Amino acid sequence: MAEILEHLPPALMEELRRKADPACLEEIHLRLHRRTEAVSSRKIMMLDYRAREMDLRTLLEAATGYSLYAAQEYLRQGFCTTRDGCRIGLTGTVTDGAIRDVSGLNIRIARPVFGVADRALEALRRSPESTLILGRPGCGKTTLLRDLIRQVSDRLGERIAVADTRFELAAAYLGVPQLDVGERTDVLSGGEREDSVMMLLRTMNPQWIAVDEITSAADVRAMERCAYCGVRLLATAHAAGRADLHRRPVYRTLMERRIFRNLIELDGRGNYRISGLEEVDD
Amino acid sequence: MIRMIGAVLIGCSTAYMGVSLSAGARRRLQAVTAFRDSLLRMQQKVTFYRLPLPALMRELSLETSDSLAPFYALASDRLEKNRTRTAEAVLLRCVREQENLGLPEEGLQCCSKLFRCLGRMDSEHQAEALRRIIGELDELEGRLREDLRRQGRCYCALGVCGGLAVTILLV
Repeated sequence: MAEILEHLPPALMEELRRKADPACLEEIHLRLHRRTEAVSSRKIMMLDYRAREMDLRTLLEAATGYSLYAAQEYLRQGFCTTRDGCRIGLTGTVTDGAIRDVSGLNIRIARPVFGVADRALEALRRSPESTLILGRPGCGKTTLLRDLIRQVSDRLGERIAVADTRFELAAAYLGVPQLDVGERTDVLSGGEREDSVMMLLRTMNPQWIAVDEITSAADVRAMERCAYCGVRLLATAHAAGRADLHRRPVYRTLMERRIFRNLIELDGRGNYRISGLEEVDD
Repeated sequence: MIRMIGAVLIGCSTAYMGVSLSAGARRRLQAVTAFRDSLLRMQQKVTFYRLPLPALMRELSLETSDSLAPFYALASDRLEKNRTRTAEAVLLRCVREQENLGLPEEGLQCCSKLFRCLGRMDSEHQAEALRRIIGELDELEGRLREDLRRQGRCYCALGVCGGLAVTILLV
């Protein structure tokens, strides 16, 4: 069970235990004075427990190791990551670039699923090229990418560097990855994606670079620079499917420049489809 | 001769009483100084490394004076294991368990003020809060030092005068 769950109010924990297996919890949404929502084994449940201010404060304190100053960079971006890799999103009022008066928390529980990328690895063996993982939010892109990183490192035996800007892939605490990302994996946590990727490229001599969630033009620039340096990429992107890639300007650039050659599409039910991007698009 | 020896012994014991009275004040002064120095280290670590509190306390337990090391080690351990209390409550309890760290009442008030805000601010405000509390401890240290100097002189004078008086009476 994730450590952060031990800080939930006892009444909520009791209700959760009655209605679901805490070991299978995927998400918990706490909203001030409103009913709590939980997602367990892809099933959404509304619980009777209504979050109080004190609950949100206690959870946030615990999530940041009783040190808001240690997580301030991320809190300004609306989230923080616990030391066992759970991500907590925040809502409230944005003042001076930081969220104050926190009114809601979304706890996403990180759970590595070993072996989920077996098929993807076989595809990479046949076609060891840059690979993009596509899917809707919450469909398991990060889980798949994490396992793929581990397998590229341990089973393919290649050096892979991870630019883990949001601490979701390796969940590093004080610099040490808390989730298994493989023996030959170098992790750079935090920072700006573009800077992190370039630092890894210059200093760690990687054969692969992995990033989670390409969302901006700066991310695309970083991908381009890597691709043209002979490094292969593993990345994820929010998109419902291949067609979305051509609709969204950020991804359209990626497609036009042919940075990725393999595509993995997740269907949201735990299945994925692997295809060569170039052949189909041609 | 016996009178002389008796007079010297009584004089010495009077001085010893004076010294032991001032020893308590010296211990309090040392406790305040050590605590102030540890907060200076804490301030550096918050500003430059932004270590979370449990890790920060663990580092301080290795770097601070022997008198404070057990407190910081205990605090780090308790924060790691804490599930239900606020950090403030955990730290105050650790202080109590460590015999108030030998601090005088004003020092304990500084402790409470610190624990009330520790970890609840961004790094700039946290460093500022620490600076303010270090300033208060500096003032307290100055006062205690002055008290100690005055008391030491007073006890010394009392011891010597008492000894002389007894010597005169006896001789």
